[in-house]
Amino acid sequence: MKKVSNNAGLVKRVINNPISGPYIALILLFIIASIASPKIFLTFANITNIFRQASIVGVVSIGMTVVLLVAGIDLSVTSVMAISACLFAHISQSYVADGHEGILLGQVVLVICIGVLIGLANGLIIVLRNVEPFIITLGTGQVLRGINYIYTKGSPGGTVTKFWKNFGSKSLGGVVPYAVILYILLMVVFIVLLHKTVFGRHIYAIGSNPEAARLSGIKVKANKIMAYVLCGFTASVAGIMLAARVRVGEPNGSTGYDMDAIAAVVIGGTAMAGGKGSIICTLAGVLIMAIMNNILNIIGADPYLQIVIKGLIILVAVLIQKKNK
Amino acid sequence: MSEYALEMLGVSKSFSKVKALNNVNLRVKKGEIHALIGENGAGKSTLMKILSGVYKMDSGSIKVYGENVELRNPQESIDKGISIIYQELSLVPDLNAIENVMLGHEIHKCKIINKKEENKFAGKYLDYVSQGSLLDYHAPVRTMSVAYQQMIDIAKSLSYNSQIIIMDEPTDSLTRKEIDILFQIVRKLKEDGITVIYISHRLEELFELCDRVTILRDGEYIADKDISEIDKDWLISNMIGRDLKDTFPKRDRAFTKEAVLEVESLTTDRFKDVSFQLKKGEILGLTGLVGAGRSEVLRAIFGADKLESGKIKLFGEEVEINHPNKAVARGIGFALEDRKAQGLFLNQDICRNITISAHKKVAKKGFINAGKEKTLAQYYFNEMRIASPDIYKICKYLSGGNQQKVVLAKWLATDCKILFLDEPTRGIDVGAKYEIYVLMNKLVQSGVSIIMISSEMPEAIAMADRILVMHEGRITGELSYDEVNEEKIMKLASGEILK
Repeated sequence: MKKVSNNAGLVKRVINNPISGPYIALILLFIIASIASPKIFLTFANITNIFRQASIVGVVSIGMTVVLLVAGIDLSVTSVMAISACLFAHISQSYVADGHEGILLGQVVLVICIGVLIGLANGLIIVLRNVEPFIITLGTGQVLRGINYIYTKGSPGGTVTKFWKNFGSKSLGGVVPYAVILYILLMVVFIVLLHKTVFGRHIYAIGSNPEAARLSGIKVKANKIMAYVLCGFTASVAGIMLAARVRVGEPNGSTGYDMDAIAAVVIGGTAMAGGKGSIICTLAGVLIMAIMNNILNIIGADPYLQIVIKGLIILVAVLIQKKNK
Repeated sequence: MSEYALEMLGVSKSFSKVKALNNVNLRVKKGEIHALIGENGAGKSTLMKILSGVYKMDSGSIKVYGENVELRNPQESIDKGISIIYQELSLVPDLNAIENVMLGHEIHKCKIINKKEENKFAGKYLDYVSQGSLLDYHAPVRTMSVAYQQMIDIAKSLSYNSQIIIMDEPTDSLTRKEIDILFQIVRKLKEDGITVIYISHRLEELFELCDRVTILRDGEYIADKDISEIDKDWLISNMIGRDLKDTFPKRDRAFTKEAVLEVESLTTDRFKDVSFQLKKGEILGLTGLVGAGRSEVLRAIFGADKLESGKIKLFGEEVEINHPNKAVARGIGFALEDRKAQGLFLNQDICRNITISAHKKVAKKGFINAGKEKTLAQYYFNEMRIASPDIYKICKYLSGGNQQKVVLAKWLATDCKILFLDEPTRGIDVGAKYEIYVLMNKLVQSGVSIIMISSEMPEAIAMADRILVMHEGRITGELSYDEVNEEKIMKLASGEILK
């Protein structure tokens, strides 16, 4: 039985598609921002800046999306980012002193492995002991934050190689910031992972109905642990990106990224109960938050007011989602 | 004054497109024990839910003691003196007998409960019902047997001054002795002028206990008669309304001597020493009362629950299955009792639900081949004749029968060789039931072996090649298709030994 599509049906289908909501909001926001500040907002430099700002949160949000899809949450990402940034900057210091200018791949891999291990630790505790992810990751986040302070003695330090300095500030062909390219690359990888692999099918199944997933033969525990591993992975990549941008390891530099990431994921339409959402949805959330930040800065809004507005956006987004259910 | 305590006339109720009740009449005389019978899906539950204020009828009228009433919510029903005692008892497990009886009409002064008064008030009703057999009114009811919990429930109804008490399958979980005690209580209620509506599928009980009977079938009112005027055969033929042979397809027996599954001395805290074999191409029925341990046995073999001890041999090889993942990998499928909570991903489409366990057939090295996925889903979608425009409909919106078909399709898609079915036709309309029976026939013809748990005896008797009966965690007997009948099953299910 073939469904006959007419124009009205198409519009209805577009509106009913879960991706549409956040993207419609994004377009509206873009239009409003353009009207509010055409001379500053709507410039090439500014738009590029928005994307560059968005890319670090964006990378964290990718891993956060996977965790939220299995009805989990990871509040330790801030600390993972901080540790990754500081560790990387600190390690790089001696290499820079020796004249190295390149990517320092070995050291990058090392730092990322640590992020992965932290994610693994989170996952093992949460899944095997069956405890609340909120509390556990809050706890591990604190522990890591403390360790990082001890390690850095509370102050920024270290440096990065020329390669990373360029990465953090320059663009490919002068147009697309390298950070953005990395973000897009990671998005593509994860979109494939979530939509075209057995693992992805299992993640969505677990989020939708964990008991039915288990009884359908899915290894629920192993997959959930993997979700936390992936979150640790993206958090540490984001940490390296952060170090590249500010060119030091800043123990406090990653403050707020956990909330921003969660906000982006939720605004994008991924339910906190799991089973619904995607990387594309999260991208809309990330861009909405980035544009929001940007336009508020441009019009000179009180930075504290920005925090209030961000909170309001989250509330509104979640309530709208609930209503549409 | 009317001789009727209750008259429900011309009651109709539809859910979306399904007409659950069509112009049904129920007339219950004062002080009588009135049986309400019908097959699963006949509409008894729906009718009682309307009477107890849970549902609103689309049309019809209700008269209680001659007075026209509107029962818009459960409280209004209780206020009119109607109460219902459900199969799944509605007591609060951690409260004691007194507290449960007083729930909803506690005796208090300024919100502080007067325990002494409550003990006196509730105690009166508890004494009446239990006749001293209930020892402790202050123990949490979770510590008591189903029979005692039922007594407390009845006492609660009486404490609300119910004049009409509905009992929904009250003897399902009771022993013979407990049933006798319950009947004594019901007769006492009748003596004291209380009207009882008694719903049960156990026809012998109706003849033992009830005065009159109303029969429903497929949402229609068929007849109401004095019990003294009829016999069991008349009841059955009016309940079913058609030749039994039209309800079930002819069984083409396909079993061999080869055992595909052998279990020995399986034990957990829910069942003990369970041993049996499943032959290739066989439909093995597993019956018993609620709580006998049937689902638990299959869950343990499937790896969904932990086995304390025992051996499992699959296709001749001893195996250890500690996770459903292993069972599925070895070719076992399990369509569990609660299809929504345990078998389906309601917010996902039919395609996903069908292919979720069959990754061997749709994926290579972990990457899904979308074309193969679609083809596989489409194939079983067609085979099972799932009623939906296409395979992209979200499963939440399918009817119960179609949801069950999706669950079955999921397992067929894995090419499993052994299939466990737990109440496969529960809550499904007659047409879909028949299709599932035909499917089971086809499956065993192609070499699949099935274990089917069923609480519907006609279904078990018609479909199974052999029936194992369980009672309180043990297998009490085995009956082959040519020697089985309802009476033998019921005896074994109640723990009796067959001679």
